[in-house]
Amino acid sequence: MSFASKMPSLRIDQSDLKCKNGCDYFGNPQWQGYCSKCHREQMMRQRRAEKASTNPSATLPKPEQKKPERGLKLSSHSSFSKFEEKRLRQSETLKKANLLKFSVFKKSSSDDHDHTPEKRPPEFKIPAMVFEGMKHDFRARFPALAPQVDRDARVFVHSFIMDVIKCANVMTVDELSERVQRQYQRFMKHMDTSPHFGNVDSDTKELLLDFVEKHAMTYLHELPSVVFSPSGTDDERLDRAMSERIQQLSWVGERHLECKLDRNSAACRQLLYKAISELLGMDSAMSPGGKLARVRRCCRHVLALCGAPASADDLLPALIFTVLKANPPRLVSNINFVTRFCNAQRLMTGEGGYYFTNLCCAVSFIENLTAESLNMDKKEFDCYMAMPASIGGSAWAAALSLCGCAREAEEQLAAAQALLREARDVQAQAQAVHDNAATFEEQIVKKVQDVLSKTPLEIKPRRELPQFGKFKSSAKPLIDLEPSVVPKETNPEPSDQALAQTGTSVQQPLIDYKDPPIDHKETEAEQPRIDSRVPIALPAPPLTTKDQKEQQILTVDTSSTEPEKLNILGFEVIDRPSPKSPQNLDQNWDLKQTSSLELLTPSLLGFTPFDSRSIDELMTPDEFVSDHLAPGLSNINYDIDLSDFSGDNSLAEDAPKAKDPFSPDGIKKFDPFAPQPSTFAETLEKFNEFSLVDAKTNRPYDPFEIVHRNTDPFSAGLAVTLPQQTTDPFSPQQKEGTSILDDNNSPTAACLLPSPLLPQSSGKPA
Amino acid sequence: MSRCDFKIVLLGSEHVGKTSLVLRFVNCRFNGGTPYQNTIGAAFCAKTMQSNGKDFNIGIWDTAGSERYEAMTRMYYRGAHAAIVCYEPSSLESWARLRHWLQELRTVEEECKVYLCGTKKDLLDAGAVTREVPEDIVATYSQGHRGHFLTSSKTGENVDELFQKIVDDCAADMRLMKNVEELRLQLMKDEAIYKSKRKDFCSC
Repeated sequence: MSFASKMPSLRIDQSDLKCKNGCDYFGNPQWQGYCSKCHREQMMRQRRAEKASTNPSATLPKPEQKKPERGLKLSSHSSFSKFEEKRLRQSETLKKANLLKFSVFKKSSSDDHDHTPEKRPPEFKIPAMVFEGMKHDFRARFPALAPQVDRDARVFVHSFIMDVIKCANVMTVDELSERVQRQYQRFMKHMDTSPHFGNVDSDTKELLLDFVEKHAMTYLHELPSVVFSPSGTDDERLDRAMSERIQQLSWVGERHLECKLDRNSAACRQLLYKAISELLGMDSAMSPGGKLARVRRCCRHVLALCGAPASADDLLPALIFTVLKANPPRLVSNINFVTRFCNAQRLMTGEGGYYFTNLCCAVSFIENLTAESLNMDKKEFDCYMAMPASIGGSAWAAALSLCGCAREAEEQLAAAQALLREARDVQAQAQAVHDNAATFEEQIVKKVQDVLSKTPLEIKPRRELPQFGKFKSSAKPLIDLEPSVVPKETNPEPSDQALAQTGTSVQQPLIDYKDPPIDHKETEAEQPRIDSRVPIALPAPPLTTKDQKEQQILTVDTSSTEPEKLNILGFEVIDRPSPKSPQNLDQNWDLKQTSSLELLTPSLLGFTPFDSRSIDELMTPDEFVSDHLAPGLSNINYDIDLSDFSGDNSLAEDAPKAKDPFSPDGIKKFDPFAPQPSTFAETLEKFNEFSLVDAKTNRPYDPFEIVHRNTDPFSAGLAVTLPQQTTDPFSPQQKEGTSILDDNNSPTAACLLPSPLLPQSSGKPA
Repeated sequence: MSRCDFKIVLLGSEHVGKTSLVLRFVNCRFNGGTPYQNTIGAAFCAKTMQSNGKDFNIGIWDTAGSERYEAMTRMYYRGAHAAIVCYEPSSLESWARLRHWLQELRTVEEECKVYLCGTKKDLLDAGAVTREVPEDIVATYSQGHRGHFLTSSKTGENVDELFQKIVDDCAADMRLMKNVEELRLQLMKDEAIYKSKRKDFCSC
């Protein structure tokens, strides 16, 4: 009929003979003004639309029957129904557009209309996001499982999706559903047989199946008209019919369904509200499992609503009531989607399945609701049904909307509180920052003040002027002043201390000029140290001394020699030998040298190694030390060493002769003296210690002689008891050894220049 | 415990005592130490039971006994492994409804094992009610089914026995089914191989 009615209108519109669609072919009135191709398409479209419009009337007779009723209602709120119809038509066209898109898609992949599905798979690329999400989800859900399992699951999902897409166009929905179920079974089999799943327990396998189902179906759900309200079915129309039906039944209250619900109790309202929101959320869930979970949660709320030992007799009415109040969107589509594509095993047996079955029952009850099913009079029922939906709203709708408002208010309140908290936090933080800034400022000011107070004092007076001043006063004066200062002080110790002090004080500030002055001072410091140590040792020898005369002589000698020594220290290299050796040596050296000679001569056996040592040291270090020698020490050493060794080797070497101006007297004196002490040798041998003491007391010349003596006897006997003394003396020994040869070179400038290197040589043995 | 091995449906008219039966069963076991999943209501109960030393999860589905939901009850026992049809020996009406379900089950779910269960045995024993359903009729009806139990949810008499028997039967049946399934799969595989061979042959 509709076909016939459309014909004339089409004819009227046809002004020219071309196809109505605008293609260049000629149209034909038999084809309604289209060309043959367009007409065929048009016919197909029409047929499909007709099928869609006739089907619901067959499956759902109730809404069709109620059409006249709706017609009655139109008067009351025609605008709404018009809108509804408009929306209906729109959605229908939308759906057709979807279908067309799909068919266009097919065409694009292959020109042949009929055999499209084979060539489609390459067109369909499952977005990588699906698998990325899957990988992520898998890691989150099954962290313990092997990556192989993950890979298997992904491979399966891929093949699953491709299979479904491939079959979607060829198969009816029921066939597709069966195929999907077989896919699930296939995966189950795979899990049972594959070695990758060997150590996975059955519960985890169930979860894995859910996981696979979820990800596969979530993707498929998004595709238009593939699995969710598929193209071949009239799910969407049924959705609308159901929605309208529920709207019609909005007057049905709890007493009609004989469920015990208290509208006035807030807890009851709250639970019902929760159940309804879960049921509404079912549409937003993508996978059948997700939808099922929503239903489960909803039913749990409903069960809680019913009271503690709720049986199915309580659950079902309450659920029906909930569905009526919720009027969930696309309810039939959702239910069909779950029934078709959820894992049948779970839908059959599990808790979710039970609740879902209950929901299905509720929906079918609502669909087939009659006066009898509500235990009410038919007339009354008809009256209610004739009533406009807006009036039927009833108290429950108000209560629920109130509940919704309360809920919203709560959410708003929570949001507001959160905002308030945030604001407070911000304020607190701002305060903290402010305090921080204040303290920071204070600190900065303080620091700046500190720095200012420090820097002006430090930088200008200390570093620049005073340093140089010190430098000069310490470095040069040390050399110049020492002799002048020291002679004033007869006591060696204070002078030594002064020297040490000056030395230390100078050493610190002098950085650039380090090497030379340190050398001087180290050497000088070493000397005074030795000296200072010697006096400590002095008190002991006097007790042990047997010959007082010698002591007296020695003491006298020391007193006389001390200032000279200090002078020597001060004067360093050049000045010493001239004043010292020639004049004072005559008297003092006699005893000392005798003692030394005596020590050397009698203990020839013991000394031979020493001599060799000394010689070795002399020979080897000559080259090095001649360069490295510190002027002051070396000079002192030279004199003494020359005197010492001259007794043994001086004649042969003739080296000392080169020193003729300084040493020859000493040497000459040594020679004659040598025999004399040899006579005393026996007595002196007994007084080894005395000789040491004497040597120590006679610092100017002796320190090195003493060192010799000390080292010799100490090395033999006291090395363990006085290691420091032995170690110290060694450094002078080297100097002595070196000094002998250096004496020749000592006056030369070469001796002074290399001096900076001396500390290295002296440091090494020390 | 989302997985359930067996689905057991409870059928029976209103106030026959289906829910009490389930509660009795579940609570008994619950005291025994095995946890049961659903604490809110007795509409659905999942429970682990043993048979032959193996664990099985059973899901017990309660159904609404009201007559107006009768049309929907078919959904419940779709795919059920076992059905317990309850009646009250003191109520002839409940027995009449039982016959209706038995017929339904026989036509809709042939695989389903049916157990007859007369409830409220304690009342019967105490003489508080008089027996209206003749025993000989019950006996004749129960011959065509897996068993007949007279239970008392109050005392717990025969309750465990009933469920244990169901689980044992199901377990035995499942073993059988598994074998059958394997056989069928094997046959299918063979057929597929045969087909593919033929195809190969053809292509050559």
